[in-house]
Formats: sequence, structure tokens, C-alpha cells
Amino acid sequence: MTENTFFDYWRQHQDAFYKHQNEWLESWTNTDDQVSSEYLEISKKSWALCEEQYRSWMKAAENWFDTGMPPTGDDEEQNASQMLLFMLNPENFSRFGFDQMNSFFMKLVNGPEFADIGMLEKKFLKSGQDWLLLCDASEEYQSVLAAAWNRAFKLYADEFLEQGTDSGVDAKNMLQRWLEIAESELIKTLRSTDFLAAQRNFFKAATGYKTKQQEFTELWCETHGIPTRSEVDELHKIIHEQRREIRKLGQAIKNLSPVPVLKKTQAVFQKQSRQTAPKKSTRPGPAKSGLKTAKKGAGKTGTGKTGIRQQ
Amino acid sequence: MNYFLEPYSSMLDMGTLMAKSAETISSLDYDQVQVGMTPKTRVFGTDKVSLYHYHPLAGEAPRTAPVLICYGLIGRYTMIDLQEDRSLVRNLLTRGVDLYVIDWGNPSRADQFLGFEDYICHYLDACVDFICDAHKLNSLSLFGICEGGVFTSMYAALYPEKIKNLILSITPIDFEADLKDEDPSHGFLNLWIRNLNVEDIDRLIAAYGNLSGEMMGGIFQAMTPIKTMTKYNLGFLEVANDDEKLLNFLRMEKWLADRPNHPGVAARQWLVELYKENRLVKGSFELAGQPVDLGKINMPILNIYAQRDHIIPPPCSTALGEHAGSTDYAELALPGGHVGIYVSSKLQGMVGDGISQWLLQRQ
Repeated sequence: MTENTFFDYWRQHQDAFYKHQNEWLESWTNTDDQVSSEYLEISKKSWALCEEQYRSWMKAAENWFDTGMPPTGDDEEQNASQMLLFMLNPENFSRFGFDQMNSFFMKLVNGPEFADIGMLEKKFLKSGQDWLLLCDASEEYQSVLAAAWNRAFKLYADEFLEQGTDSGVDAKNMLQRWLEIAESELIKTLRSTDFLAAQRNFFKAATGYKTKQQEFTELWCETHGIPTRSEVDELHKIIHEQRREIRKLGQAIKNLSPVPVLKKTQAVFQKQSRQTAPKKSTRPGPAKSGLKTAKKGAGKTGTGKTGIRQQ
Repeated sequence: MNYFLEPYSSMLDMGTLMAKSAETISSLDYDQVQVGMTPKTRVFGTDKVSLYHYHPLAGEAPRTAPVLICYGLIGRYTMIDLQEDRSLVRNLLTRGVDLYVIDWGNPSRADQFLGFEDYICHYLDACVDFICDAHKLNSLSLFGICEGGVFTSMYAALYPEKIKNLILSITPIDFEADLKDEDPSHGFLNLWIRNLNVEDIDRLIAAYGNLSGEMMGGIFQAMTPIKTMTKYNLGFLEVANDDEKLLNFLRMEKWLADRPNHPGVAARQWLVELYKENRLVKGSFELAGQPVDLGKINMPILNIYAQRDHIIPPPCSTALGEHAGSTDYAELALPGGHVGIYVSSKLQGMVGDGISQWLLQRQ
């Protein structure tokens, strides 16, 4: 037994399944069936291999669930147990599917740590109210997701317990059914009031903390004579506004009537700006589109060969 | 016999599959994983924006006037040219469509002040003018995809005289029409953005400067939790022992990972003014000091949408029919998802045929 009830449940099912298959194989091979002995021998060997692999997976996965660390062993064994981990550990369910937001924010707010630069400030910041709010919000978000996985698992377990293992267990169908149930429950959760509230709080807390972090960084940069983020942003804003001004001026010059004095300026500007903004063509009014001859007032005319529905 | 052998033989198969997968992956060269490879030439550029002209395919002279493809700022245009046998670009070139595409580049924090006005009234307009000048035309056909469809719709409303035909694909027009979609797995983006307070969105953009591409990627993954959870195990094993399938998978992954940041000012307009306030259909979205009036879109419109689009629910796209002023409006509903209609091998011909035939009838 491990600390993971879901894994234990799944393993019990698998044990029962293999035991059942094994007994059946033995009783079957002991009968006077017409299957050739050579074929039976191959089957037995395959079954032995299968059991061995199963035991190896279980051992690796059990070890992993208990220690929280990937098992040692060859690549194949690790791949197999990784797959089991993905499929069966509720703790990890919440990390795959819709926890990307959490990972994103946490990665950004934690940020890179270059030796001890700013560490004191960072530590101080993390002891503050905003960090605690973020941790609480993250936990709330995670717990809503975890509850969804638990509900899905309960539905799944109830369904299979009701059916019983004697009815024959098909691993593919089991997995398929689990995915269907989980999908349905998760989709429901993503629309729930609890989820939306948790998501909103988490967003707010993450951006709140990030803002506070930036305020600290600004202060640190200012103290050490380093250009601050807001100063760089301000410069970018000025450049952006200047570009807009230049564009407007360029447009105004193009729109001017051809006064001899301005002609030279216009020509120079166009030559210089050819790579950045093409000359406007002086096209006649509205385009000669097929509008007049188009299906004016036409109603829906059904779907043609291409599937296009004219309306 | 089969009943008896099936369970454990499938387990052995899985082990074999894993071993084969490891072998296939180790034999792959990263250079093989390329997207957007259809030959093209950069013909114009301004700031980080590039305009490309696709080369006609051998023996296929253009049969249409130029068509300018405009993708959005969320994701990149390479989605329509993922690989040779899954490329809308190639499908259209094969059918004689003269194609241009805009690449918005990779906006950084230095570009955070770029808004819809910059993208539509300046960059897009400059590209349209360049093509019209080059071909000595008064107007061209615009093909907008996703957020690029919103750009092109707004452009067509502001400058109808420059647009001969308007093609839109998986484009949201009514950002509240997700409420009309009965599929509970559709419209999470609408629901989740509406769920946020405006001040939280403002603070998010102020904190990061832009709307991070990585964050958007996370949100998209969060919308399909089971698919996300099984993608790199069950899904991967399904393709990993087949070189071609694996390359397809990796190309798609490459496209998904190549997610640029969305400039801050434009992101605020996208999230607050469109998703939260639904200004486009209300007629209160403004560009260059004037409201964008969808009623002024008077050229022929082909509106393509995906019936299983969980990101842009179909009613959000089809709303254009109610608001556009055009009397020549057609819809093409495709049986796929948001990206699936472009990358699915089954739908390749359908999209290419639909667009090219519609265009040829309107030259």
C-alpha cells in the first residue's frame, strides 16, 4: 500500500485482473483443447513477460508515489512509471490540464536568482502581506481543481465498483472511461462559481504581488543608480509617440497640394521613407467591386459543392 | 483466443512502442522540424512588420487578383503553412491564388504601446497600399484569420474602397455570442475574461508590459484539461513510432511554442474593449477617432468558421452576418476545431476549394 489511494485502488484492480487471467490461463491449458502445445507455450511465455513488466511498473510507480522521486532503473521502466504517474496520481492531475496559469505566475514572481543580488529585498518582500495573499490564492485555486479530480475519481470508482471485476476488465476501455468522466467533471468545474472566484482571486493576487515586486525593484535600481523599468517604459512611450507624429506628418505632406516649395521636401521624405511607408496611391473613390451585381437581397440558397452557404 | 491474448499482448505492444519511440526520437534531426517553408520573398517591411509574397508553384500562374493574409497577434501565421501536405498556403497557390502574408514579428516590451490603430490604420494599411501599388490596383482581397479577422473586418469597415473581397476565418465578431453556444466546452476564453475585473486586466498588462505569449499558451492548454494531460503520454505514444506522424506532431508543437507576446495597449483593447465590453457589435469601438461601423463592410464576404471551435464559438463568428452591410455574404462551416480546420489532413482540400472557388467567382 502507498499513500496514494487512487494508485492503490487501481493496483488492486490490476492485481485482481491478472490473478483472474492467470487462473483462467491455467485452467484453460489443462483442458484437452485443440490448441497446439507450441502455441500455448508462446502464450505462457508472453504472459510471463507481461506479468514481469506489470510487476516492474508497479514497483517503480509505488516507489515513486511513496518517495515523490522518479524511480531508478532503465529508460523503459522510467517511461512506463512516468506514464502511470500521469494517469493515476491526483496530486499531479491538477498540474496537468489547467495549472499552467499557476506555473506561469509562480515562475515570474519567483524570477531568476542571481547570486545574492537583491536577495535581501526579495526575502523581505516574500515576508509581506502580498506574498501571503498570493500563496493563499494559489492554494485556493489548487484546491478547487483538486476537488474536481476527486469528484471525477469518485464517479469513476463508483461506476467500476458497481460493475465488479468479474465482468472482465479491458484496460483500454477503463482508461477511456476514466478520461471521459474526468473531462466531463473538469469542464463542469471550469464553469463553476467556485472556480471563477478562485481564478479571479489568483489573478488579482499574482498581479498584486508582481506590482509590489516591481516597486521594490524600482527602489533598488534607483538606490543603485540603475535605470528603472518605468524609466525605460517612458522612453519607449516617447519613441512610440514620436513615430506616430512622424507618420502623421508624412501623411500631411502627402496630402498637401503640390506647392513648388514643398515638392522638394516631399520628394526627400518619400525617398527616405520608402522602406518604412509606401506611397499612398491616388485611387478613385469607391472600388469597382461586384457589389452592384452581387446577390442583392438574396436569401439563403443552401449549400453548394464547396459547402458554402450563400445568405 | 483473441479475447485471452488481447490484454497482455497490448501491454507488451506498449513496451515495444516505447522502445521504438525512443529510437525514432533519437534518430530525428531538429532541422527536420520546420514550419512555414513554402517559398516566399519579403517585399516590404516597416518596424517589425514584414510583408511576404508567396512564389507561384511550378506551372501554376495566378488566376486571381492578390489576396493578403492577415493573421492575429496571438500565435503566428505559420499555422497555415505547417508542412507541405498540410498547408492552406500551398492549397491556395495550387488553385491559382496570388498570395501575400503579413508577419507581425515578435513584439517585445518596447512595443507595448502599439494598439489596434497602429496595426490596422498603419501597418495593415501600408501593406495594402504596397500591394495595390505593385499591381496597379485600386483594391485587393483580404483574408483575416482569428484576431487577424478582427483587424481585417475593422479595416474593411474603415476603408471599404480598398477591399474587393473579404474572407474571414475563425473570427470573433460578437464576443458575447458564446452564451448562445450550448457546448459546455466552448467559450472559456469569453467566460474567463468576462470574469476578470477591468482593473485586474489593467494591472496585469501594466505589470508585464505585454500580454505574455507564454501565459496565453497556458490559458489555451487550461481550456482542454484532459487533452493537455494525455498529450505527451498517450497522444505522443500514438505517433512516436512513425517518423511522419512524429514529425507532424513536432511541427505542431513548434508552432504552439512559437507564441509571440501581444503588445500591451492592443491587448487591453482586445481583452477589455472587445471581450469584456463587446464594443465591435455595439458600434462603439473607435479607431483613429472614429467608430468602427460594421455596417460599412459592403464588399462580398466569405465567413469561414469551425463547428467545433472551443476558442471562438461559432455564434461569435456567424454574428457578422447580422452586422455587416454586405449583400453578398456567405458562410463556410467546417467540421473541425479552431486550428484543426487548417492542420487536419482531412479538411485540406475543403478549405482550399471553398476559398478559391468563391474568389474565382468574384474576380
